[in-house]
Amino acid sequence: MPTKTAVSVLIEASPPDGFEDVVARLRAAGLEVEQVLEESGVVLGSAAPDRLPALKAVRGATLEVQRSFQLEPPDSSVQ
Amino acid sequence: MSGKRNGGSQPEPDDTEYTGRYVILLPEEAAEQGTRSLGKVMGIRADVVRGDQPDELADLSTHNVFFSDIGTAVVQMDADQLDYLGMVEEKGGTPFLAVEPERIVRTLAIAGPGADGFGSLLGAPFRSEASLLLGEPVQEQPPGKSPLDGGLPAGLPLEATALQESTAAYLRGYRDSIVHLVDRLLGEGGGAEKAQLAPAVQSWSDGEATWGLHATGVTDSQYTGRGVKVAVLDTGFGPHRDFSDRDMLTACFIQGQRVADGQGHGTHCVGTACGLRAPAKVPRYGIAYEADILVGKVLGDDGSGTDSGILAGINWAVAQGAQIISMSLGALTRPGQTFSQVYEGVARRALMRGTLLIAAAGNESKRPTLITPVAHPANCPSIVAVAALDPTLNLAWFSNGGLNPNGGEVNIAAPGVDVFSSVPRPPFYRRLAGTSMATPHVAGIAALFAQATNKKGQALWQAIARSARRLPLSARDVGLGLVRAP
Repeated sequence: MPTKTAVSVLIEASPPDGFEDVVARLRAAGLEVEQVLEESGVVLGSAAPDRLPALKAVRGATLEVQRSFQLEPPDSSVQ
Repeated sequence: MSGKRNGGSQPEPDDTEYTGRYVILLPEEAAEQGTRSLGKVMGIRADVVRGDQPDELADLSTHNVFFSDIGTAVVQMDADQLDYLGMVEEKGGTPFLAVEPERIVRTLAIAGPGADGFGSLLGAPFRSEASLLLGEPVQEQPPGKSPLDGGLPAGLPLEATALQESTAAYLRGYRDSIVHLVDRLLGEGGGAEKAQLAPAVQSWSDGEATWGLHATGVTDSQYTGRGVKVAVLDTGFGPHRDFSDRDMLTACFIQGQRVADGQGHGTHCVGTACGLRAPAKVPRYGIAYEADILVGKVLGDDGSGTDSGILAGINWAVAQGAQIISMSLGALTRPGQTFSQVYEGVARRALMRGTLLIAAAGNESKRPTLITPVAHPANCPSIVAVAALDPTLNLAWFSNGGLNPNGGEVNIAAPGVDVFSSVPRPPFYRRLAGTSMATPHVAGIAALFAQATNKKGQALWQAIARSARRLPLSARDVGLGLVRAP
């Protein structure tokens, strides 16, 4: 089984379409929901790489592949 | 909208010169309607100039012109017309996005031996923004005037070099004008016009407080951040003896780790933003010393993290009612890259709930040879991007620049070199450099503003922006200038 891609999804539901409706469509399109950030209207999760095009096409959702961050080592002169 | 009037009689503190005309930015979808309004309601006739037909207009310096491709008009208006323009908008007429006096933009000519023997800088040509908008060809250096002339082997494109130099200067002037206009649109530049220019030469040093607290006016401020919640999303915090009696709410978004700071970065940032007023034996290094501190550990003890932890951390801080979130973190962006829609949406929702996000512009530049664009997520339009200054208030060599449009600008600058603050391990204090160190200066000062003005979100940012001190540096690099405490 291929490694899943971590994604973050901004939900912008326009009434009568609700937050849960968008999340349901995302699940149906292959998103494994790991966390729902209610205040921000964001869903964090993962999906198989071949599901990403379908997920990006879900109405009311903006999907981005998660980035990683790395600080300089503690002994570096610039932080 | 408060288009400042400058007919030339009122000297400007920042030496900006104005042509007496006004630049009006029209909304994209209503540009035609806007032009009609100018004509019918205001009695202003403007020649339409299209980018692909730049030769149709004879004299840009006297005509009213409308640049249809970018929805911008440059027109002559008297005081009554200017007032009337504001009334038209208030009455629900054409929504002009911005109106501001047209400035004179000068090139920095290459100094050659002029007739007076002092070089030809005084003779530098100047032109107006209208000519810049049209993309008028740049006047070439007259032959024989270049200081390089004759001193180099034949075949070198001297004129081309001079031309490139002055084209670059025009482009920089043009860019600064647009940044200025956009800042005004976002309500960020209103006060900058009134802000004073910082003294040209000045060097700060640590005394009773760190140089950064002196330079930003924190040591002169009566405010303490009392009652304001400041969240620092970083490598966690402490432990540290200077914070033993402080209110602190913590959360860890790194699996299998504790909020204690195994890296040191987070403790340094918390120290600058919220450290105590009078630590024993060392200078004061903390700004909002009575603020409530929220520590979200979104980067692990190895200094690494992902969007997942950071977004969860932002959400937590917003849910806790933090007025300010300080994020000394970033991921590299390339020239031309756009901002994250997800972070922008989150930042906008946070602003609506009264939470201002402040992030480091990033350290990937190697000036003067390499300038890297503002990092993610500071490149979002609704997140404040902070550049780093050294103790002479010059830009730090590593500080990223506002190369990318649409949010990729630097918004403000703060002390970010030789910054003394707390770390969790002996000797418990350390000097560090980075836009990471500049960011908590802005966050701490934002807490002082929140206490002083009782403002939140966008209004809080506007209060900070209005008080920024202009620096004799490019807006691309320092935005509105040096952050200043209320």
